[in-house]
Amino acid sequence: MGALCKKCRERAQIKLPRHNASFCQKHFKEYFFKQVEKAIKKEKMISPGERVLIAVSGGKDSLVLWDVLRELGYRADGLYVNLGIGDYSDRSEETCIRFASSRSANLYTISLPAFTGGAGIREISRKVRRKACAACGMIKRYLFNRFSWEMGYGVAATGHNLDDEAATLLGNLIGWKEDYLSRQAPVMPSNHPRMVRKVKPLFRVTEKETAACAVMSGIGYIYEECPLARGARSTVYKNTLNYLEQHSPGAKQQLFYNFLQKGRPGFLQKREDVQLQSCSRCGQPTATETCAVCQMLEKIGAPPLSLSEGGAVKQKAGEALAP
Amino acid sequence: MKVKLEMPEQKELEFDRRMKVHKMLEELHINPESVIVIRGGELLTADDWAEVGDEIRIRGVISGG
Ligand code: SF4
Ligand SMILES: [Zn+2]
Ligand SMILES: [Zn+2]
Repeated sequence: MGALCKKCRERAQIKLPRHNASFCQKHFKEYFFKQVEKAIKKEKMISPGERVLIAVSGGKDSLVLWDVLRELGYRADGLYVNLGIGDYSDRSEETCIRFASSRSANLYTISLPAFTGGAGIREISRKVRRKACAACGMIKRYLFNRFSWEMGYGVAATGHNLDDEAATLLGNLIGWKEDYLSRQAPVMPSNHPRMVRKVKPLFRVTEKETAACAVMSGIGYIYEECPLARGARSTVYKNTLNYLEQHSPGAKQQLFYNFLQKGRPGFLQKREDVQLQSCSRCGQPTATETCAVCQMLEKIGAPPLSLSEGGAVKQKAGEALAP
Repeated sequence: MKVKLEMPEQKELEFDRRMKVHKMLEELHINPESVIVIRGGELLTADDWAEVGDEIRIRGVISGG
């Protein structure tokens, strides 16, 4: 006899040692939705009626986030950025489109190569002499913020889960990166007129729980790895934390929640606030005269980015997308 | 039973006896926190038995980046 659901005593499909509970499909989803709702309410992530844009990649986290927010009644649309990483990008785009159609949800897609004369992340990172993931991270964050702002979204959400946050925290603690530590939070308020609030509604659920929710909700997601991902350090941290979790259930959440409650306030006090200015070329928030993405585009000989030109933004599924 | 690993690297294994999921994961040196175990459309917990005729998928849940 396997484990039984804590709520209804039917066969359990998942055990959650950190909550000392097991759940059947129905009650697991109930639990999962409650955790997300609690994160949103407690951290004041999204106001009632506010439109939210979700950065979707085709992976389990962002698609589950989108599905759950819609089920919870939030007005959530998706943005997919095709990074021009060969077949991998095309397969992940198709995955997002398929999901959006299945839910009649609104999906925007942006194709990075359409702005760069065909260059994707691999080519750009070579030309600007940066690691692929560093260049990619900057470009994704830039496009996500700029697109959200131009389309009038007040809040933008990503699929970071508890494992992501705990692993990032562990890395920042080992390096004692006070500046990053002061900034790591489930909500990043806007500190520039063109900066949109960023939120992470999945920070209370684990990676395993999110994958379970995807399977139970019939969400087809892409689980192959990006070909440019090279043995990310974060995977080592995640495995280390999972080893701890296995022997001491609740370790991951304790680490992250304790940090938020007791550690972060101290780092916030010490923080020196950099006044963000507007980029001289694109107007986006930056600490330097010209923002990092405009500098990259300049280096590869691409014109300043205009999201409304070039047919790079397409509406995919769902009804009209007018704001 | 057939066991398909999707960690995401794919690999197929065979076991010729029924066994509990936690025992299977232990033999494969897999931390239960890092995977979901799927049979048909359903998830198995570490306490469930995998039977001789079953087709099991063990899917990694850790995303990099
Ligand atoms: S692995 Fe690196 S290059 Fe690939 S999508 Fe993620 S950040 Fe971009
Ligand atoms: Zn139940
Ligand atoms: Zn700029």
